Amino acid sequence: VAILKKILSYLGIDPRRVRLEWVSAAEGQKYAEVVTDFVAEIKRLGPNPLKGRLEV
Amino acid sequence: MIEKLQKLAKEYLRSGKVEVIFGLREKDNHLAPYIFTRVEELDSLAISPLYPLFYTCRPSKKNIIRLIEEKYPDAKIGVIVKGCEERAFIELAKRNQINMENIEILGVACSREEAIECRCPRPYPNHPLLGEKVEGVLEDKNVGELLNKGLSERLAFWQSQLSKCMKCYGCRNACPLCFCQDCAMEQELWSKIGEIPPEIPIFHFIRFYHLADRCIECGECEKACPMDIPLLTISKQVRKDVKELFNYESGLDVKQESPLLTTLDEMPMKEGANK
Repeated sequence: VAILKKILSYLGIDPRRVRLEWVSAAEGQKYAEVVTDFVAEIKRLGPNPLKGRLEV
Repeated sequence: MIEKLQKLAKEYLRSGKVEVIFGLREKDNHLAPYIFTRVEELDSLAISPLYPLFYTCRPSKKNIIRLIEEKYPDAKIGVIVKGCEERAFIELAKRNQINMENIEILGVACSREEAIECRCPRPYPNHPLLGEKVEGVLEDKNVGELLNKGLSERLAFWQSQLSKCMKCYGCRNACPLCFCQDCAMEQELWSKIGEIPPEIPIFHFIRFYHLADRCIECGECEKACPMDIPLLTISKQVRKDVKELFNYESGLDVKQESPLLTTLDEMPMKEGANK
């Protein structure tokens, strides 16, 4: 994922759009936090600049 | 230089250290890979930084060394290689694509001028039999320019560059390390038949990502591209990243394993462990 983010950034895609987190099934609280946080970040970043192209 | 190389190669073949020599041959002012089996043939042996020695042959998708092994089973194969080609051999051996035991590397160092022309960071094999180890090109102009751009500028840059792509697969075919039998870049999911240019940037992204820990910076992808897409720019920077993140450099040592390969050996659930 570290390399993935690097390549995305060189291609001009914000690496914050990708995130890898490890959450155990027993960590419901953490899971909710991680997802909420990620959703908030994606909303902050706005629509994907590639969006038009992806909807073929 | 070339006379010295021919002399050296002849000695190898005559003494029986190797039974065949694989290198470039000059014929009618053209260079092409050739399998030398007779000493006198080596008068036409040539070397050039612009012509690669290593291919995965299509459509059989077998690399050239495999094909030589099929034709000359158990023969010791001498290969005349430059730095980049040696790195390719090492990476392929690491990934069980060739057997180094059958191969004798006859390494030749490139000159500084040749290194500049190829923008090569390491224009010499580990132990050159001929030529001096000269400094390579460590800072790349294209990489510098890319890094100076902001994210949206980079995206715009690649959209204009990659929109030139006509999906000839030249970059993949020329790459010594692209040896997968089933290539993701041919799958309908990522690249629709008849669609040009292929989807930006995922089509090229697949290649950059697959080659992250293999790319040896030979530059064949970029040289092969008929549309002059600066493909090496990203591969060069990724190679630097892999070195910084994992302290790993591809193509230097057969014994050095890629940090991006995971083995299941250290997983807690070993075979029979849960009985």
